[in-house]
Amino acid sequence: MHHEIGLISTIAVGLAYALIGGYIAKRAGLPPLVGYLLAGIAVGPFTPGFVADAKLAPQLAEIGVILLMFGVGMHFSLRDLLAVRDVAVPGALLQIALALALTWSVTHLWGWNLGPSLVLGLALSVASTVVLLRALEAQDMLESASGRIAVGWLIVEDLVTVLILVLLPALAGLLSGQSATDHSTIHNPSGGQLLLTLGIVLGKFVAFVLFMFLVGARLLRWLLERVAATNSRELFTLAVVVAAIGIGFGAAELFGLSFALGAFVAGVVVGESDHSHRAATELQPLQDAFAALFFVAMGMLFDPAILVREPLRVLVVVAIIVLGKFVATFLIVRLLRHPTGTALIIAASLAQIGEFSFILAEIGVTLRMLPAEGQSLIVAGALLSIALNSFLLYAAKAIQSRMASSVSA
Amino acid sequence: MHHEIGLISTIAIGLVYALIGGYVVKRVGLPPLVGYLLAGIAVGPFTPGFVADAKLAPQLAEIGVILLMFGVGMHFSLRDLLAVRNVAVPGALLQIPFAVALTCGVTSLWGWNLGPSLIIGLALSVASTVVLLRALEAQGILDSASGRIAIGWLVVEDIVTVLILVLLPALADSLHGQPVSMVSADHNPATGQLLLPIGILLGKFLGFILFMLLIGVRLLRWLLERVAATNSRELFTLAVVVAAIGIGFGASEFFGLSFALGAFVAGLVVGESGHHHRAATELQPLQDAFAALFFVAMGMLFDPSILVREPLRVLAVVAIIVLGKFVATFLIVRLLRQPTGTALTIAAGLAQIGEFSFILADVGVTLRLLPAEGQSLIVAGALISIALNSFLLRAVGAIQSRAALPVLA
Repeated sequence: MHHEIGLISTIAVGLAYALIGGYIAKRAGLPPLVGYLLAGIAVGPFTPGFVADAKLAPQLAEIGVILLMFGVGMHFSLRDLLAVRDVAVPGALLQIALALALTWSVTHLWGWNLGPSLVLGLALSVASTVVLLRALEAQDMLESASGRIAVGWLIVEDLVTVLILVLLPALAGLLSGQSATDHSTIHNPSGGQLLLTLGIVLGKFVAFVLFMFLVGARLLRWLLERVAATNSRELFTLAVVVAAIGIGFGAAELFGLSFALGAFVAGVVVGESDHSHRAATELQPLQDAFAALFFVAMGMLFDPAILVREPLRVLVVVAIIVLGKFVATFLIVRLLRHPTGTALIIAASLAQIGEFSFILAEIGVTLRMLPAEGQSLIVAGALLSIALNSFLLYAAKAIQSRMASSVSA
Repeated sequence: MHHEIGLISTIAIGLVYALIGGYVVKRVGLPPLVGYLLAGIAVGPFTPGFVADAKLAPQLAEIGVILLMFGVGMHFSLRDLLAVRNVAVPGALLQIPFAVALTCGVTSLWGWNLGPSLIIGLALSVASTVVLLRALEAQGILDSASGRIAIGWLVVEDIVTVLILVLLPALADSLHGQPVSMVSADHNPATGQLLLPIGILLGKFLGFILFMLLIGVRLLRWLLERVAATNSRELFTLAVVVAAIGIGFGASEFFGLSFALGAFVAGLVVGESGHHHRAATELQPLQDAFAALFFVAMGMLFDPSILVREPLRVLAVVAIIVLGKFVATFLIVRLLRQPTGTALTIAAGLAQIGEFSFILADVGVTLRLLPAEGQSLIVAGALISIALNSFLLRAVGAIQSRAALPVLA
């Protein structure tokens, strides 16, 4: 009627398209998120018709990530998480290294320098939390042993991504213009500077976790207790949303961590309180709405023209994500002495990329470490791997249950 | 960390402040919305500290209005609404000119021209839906006869406001510079020109209602039926949110109506569909969060210095809203042969102003029909009358129950 209505139109039209896409996808037997992604392409700048606000969409997506990570955090107890650290930490670190090496060997053939190769490789190595959670939830495996390991694995990846994001500007000076063959960063003078930055990030993370568990846990418990005692439903809802978004924001603002990581830790803390059940119920509709907006925002980044311009490179990127990461993760989990079934599920659920990769790509482009083509490849790879992921996970689960039945028979 | 985070920080910090304000105020025995308003002042541009995004906040508020109006619509059946038309339509149409006349009387003492006087009068005559709903809900009288009349009354006021907003640009020329005493629009050459937009708007409104009742009802019922049949919770939530925000947006985009009116009609239609219980549950947390943001956004507009600069005028404006409108509404409702108790409740419920007044003020300033001082007065009047409103409604409830006892005895 008047004023700016960019936010309202983005939410209204984005969700309307998401509903249509999600419904059709669901009827076709696909998970709704595939429909949301297609909806995102439809409201994106590369297709005709309505174009959503490209500045607001990523922020709505971020809120989706925050709410979802908070929800996962509530699901998991600290004990569950610590129980999987023997697999998750070495697994994630090994897998990132492998994905990097694989990408680098391919981009070497394309004649790319070390900088772009590194950024692309990192982007392809980290999986999307939201996709993983939705997929595990859809298959009812969030609470399974494999589900827990996969989530723990992703938390390590999240930490590594934050670390990389903080280090990239420092690395940028080092890497710009170096050819991929000229691989000698070991004797670099600013190695000490890198270590310092690394130490600061880790220090901040540890400080945040300590703060949350020593002070935050009590504070949040006290807060929820107090608010619940007022018997005001609206204040309780507000308290839960504040716990998720407020702490996510605080973690990003004060500790330099990702929103997602902050919200996850906040969720773990709230999950330990007596009100976790009610909190989860209150949060559900908000989570659903904003998770849909997350996928729409991801779809918006996709330029379908890349499929025509660079079909082979798109194929190679998808192969790295879906095949390369699947095989690598499977071998690593087996190496860490977990059963084949578990390894299959974890490998399948991590064979995709998403929001972290987009952030990496964007920073890479900003720092001139990644050509625009690299960003398009990452978005295309994300979209295709996410769409394929539910089939992959479905297949992995079918094989697992067949294996289980043949063992028990 | 990167990107724009204006939306996230506005939501995060706005809600944190709202929670603190709401909690403190609730403990003192006031309704949380007073705390939200104070939170808004704290994050507003006139107080030190964090300042929320002044472009995004009104849009978040608008989403709050949409979700709330949709919720009310679901509450009411069309039959309920039609049942109160004999009071609501003449009542609202009588009350508005009365409030305008009263205001013009006061502003003529200040030496204001007709244009500004008319705008401020209109702004003071229309009440806030959100405030009314929250207040009625808090007192548990949303479903009472008085509650229904008050809602119907507000729907009429909403339609009148939209009409005025459409007509203002056309009126602006004829109003510039005329003194208050020269109220003689009868012989104005532009009268025919004014009738046309009125006709168009009423036509659009009827068109929207007909469209919703003939096609919308079936479409929404079919949609909710279909989506519910997929057994997907997230798709159902999405469908409800799309019904509210999407139709609200559509009503304003295609029919030129207010978001609130569109969402209200959409709510009415969904209310008839048989899924409204589940829909109401799904919507509740979203409503709570965005309603809080609505009040925060209102508080943000308030410049406390007006209390020092123009204390008498602020007092006069508050008196018009709280005393003048109360008495006028009470008399009108009595005139329409409703019991005293009902008249008291309706009069108290409507003795406040809010979002519609801000929109009017905003348009008035844009058209140079209202001085900036007028806008500040409207905001101050809104804030104070909203804060006073819960006391007023509570006092009236007490009188009413005391009066009802001897009748029962």
